Amino acid sequence: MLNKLMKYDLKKMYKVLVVFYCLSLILAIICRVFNELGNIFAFRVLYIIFSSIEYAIIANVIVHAFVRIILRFNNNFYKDESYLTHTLPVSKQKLLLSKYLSSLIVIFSSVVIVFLSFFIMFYDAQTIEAISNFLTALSGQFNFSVAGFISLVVVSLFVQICSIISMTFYAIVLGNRANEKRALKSLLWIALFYIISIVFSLLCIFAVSAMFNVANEIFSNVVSGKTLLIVFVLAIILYSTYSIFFYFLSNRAFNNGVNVD
Amino acid sequence: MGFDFDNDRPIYLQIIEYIKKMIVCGYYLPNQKLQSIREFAEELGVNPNTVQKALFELETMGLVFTERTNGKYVTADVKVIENVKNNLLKDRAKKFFYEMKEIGLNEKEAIEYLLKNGGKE
Amino acid sequence: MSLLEIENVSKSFGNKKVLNKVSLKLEKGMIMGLLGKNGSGKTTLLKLINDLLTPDEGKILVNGNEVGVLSKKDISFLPERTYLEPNMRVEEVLNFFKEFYEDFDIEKARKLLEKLDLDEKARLSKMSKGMKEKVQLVLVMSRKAKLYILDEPLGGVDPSTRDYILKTIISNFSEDSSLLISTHLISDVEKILDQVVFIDQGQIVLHEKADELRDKNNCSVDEVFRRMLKC
Repeated sequence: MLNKLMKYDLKKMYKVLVVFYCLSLILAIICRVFNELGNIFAFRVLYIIFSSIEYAIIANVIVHAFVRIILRFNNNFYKDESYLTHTLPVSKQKLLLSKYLSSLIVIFSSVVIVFLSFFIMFYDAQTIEAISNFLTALSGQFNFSVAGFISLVVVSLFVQICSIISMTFYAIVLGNRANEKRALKSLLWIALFYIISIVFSLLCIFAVSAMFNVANEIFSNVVSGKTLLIVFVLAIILYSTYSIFFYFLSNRAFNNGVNVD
Repeated sequence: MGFDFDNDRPIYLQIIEYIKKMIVCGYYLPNQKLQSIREFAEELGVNPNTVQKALFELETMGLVFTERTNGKYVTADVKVIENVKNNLLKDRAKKFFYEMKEIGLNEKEAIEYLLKNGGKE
Repeated sequence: MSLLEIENVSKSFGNKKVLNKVSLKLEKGMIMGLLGKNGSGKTTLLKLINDLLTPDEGKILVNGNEVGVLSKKDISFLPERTYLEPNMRVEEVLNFFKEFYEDFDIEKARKLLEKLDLDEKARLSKMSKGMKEKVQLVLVMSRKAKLYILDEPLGGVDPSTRDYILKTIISNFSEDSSLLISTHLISDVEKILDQVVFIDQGQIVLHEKADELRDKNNCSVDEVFRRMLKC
């Protein structure tokens, strides 16, 4: 049942997103072409115009992915469609899990598209070398390997996104328990969770860095590799905890029943 | 739908009357198999349980009988059918004369009127 | 064991008590009419049975199971809303139902759609409200469920379709299934009802066999309802 649910969730969310994906890739190619022909003034101008459009579209891919995820969750669980969703012979846990998993897939594919677009636009030996030099220098400064540095960044970004989705879903679940002004209440909850999580994260970072005697270093300009590692690991732990914690809360609240208008 | 029900009276009574009439007028012959309850229900646009109840009553009256596995049949006993027919006729006639009397005709005048004018305009 | 057992169920929204200690039993093979004015609590009761709301107190059992995955397998529910995604085609919806409901008979659905002149290739967004309602009714009646729950099934359809819908309902319901129809258009459905339940201001005010009610009062269920609830 879970795969069937996910199939329909993904179908619905990708319906519009795929258009943006294609646009983003096609425009990336166009930009690349104009850039290659950059010696001629007219193409230079066209390149500038098209690349600004492309940046807007790339931003849109990410924003839109989030919007689709939130709309799918809210509409499928709490609007007219919910009359079908909640009468399917599927457990509430599976309904919720399907939304989480398909959302992660959507985020992941959107990020891949964004990378791919940049890759098409800018790939050449020089740029890659410049980036790798920069990364080597940066990671060397902290005594990390390049691969280790990149994976730390990627993993911590990933768990951060997970935690945002998790918090948002729980906020929507809570907001929809109310009998009126559900959207507003959902928004208030998400703001609250976000602020609390940031404050809590900062406190944790401060406490832990104090524990390792690096507190004064964190808020200065010179950060040692050890300190940076501590911050990254802590961030990963914290965001994973939020993700799981809020998933667990949503699951419990959802299992207690919905309140469909 | 095949039959217009009067929502003011119990539906099963109206189904009884309907089937009775179909039997006495010869639409259903003695010993003929009746359609299933479900078919009746669909045809009349009523609840199968109501049809069941009506058929049960008809069975009690002896107009219908059940062959264990095959379904329901009209009785083979022509006397019973005649009887029911007579009762129906008697009822109608009584009602007719009563109404004529209200308009001021006695039985003889009513019959004469009928013979002369029938139901013509 | 009754197919549907509702025991002392109450539900409030804020300070407003919508259902107040409602108890109701529905046996196998019965067609029950849940009759009430708009806002009487009919839809709330149906939503509680279908897990779209949770009761504040009381118990609901469907074929012996509490509301959940098992009860949803047994119930085929037609809500008042159009719950289908507008950009889907009818055939996609059929496949959706086939995937999620083991008891969905897709061939039967196709036949019914054809009889109602509905095109399988058509998108729902291109259909009128009445047509969408018909599609939903076809979906619901093409399941071999134990309990069919229809919320205002005749709301937006014309009289000729109404007769066809009633016929479809009758011919599809079997001896081991039951039907619960909520409506405020009583005269249209009363001839197919075994039992009638009047609900008013969140409480059940009458529960009787339809024919007995007519016999007792010498008038239609509709008339009894009007007199009793003064409307």
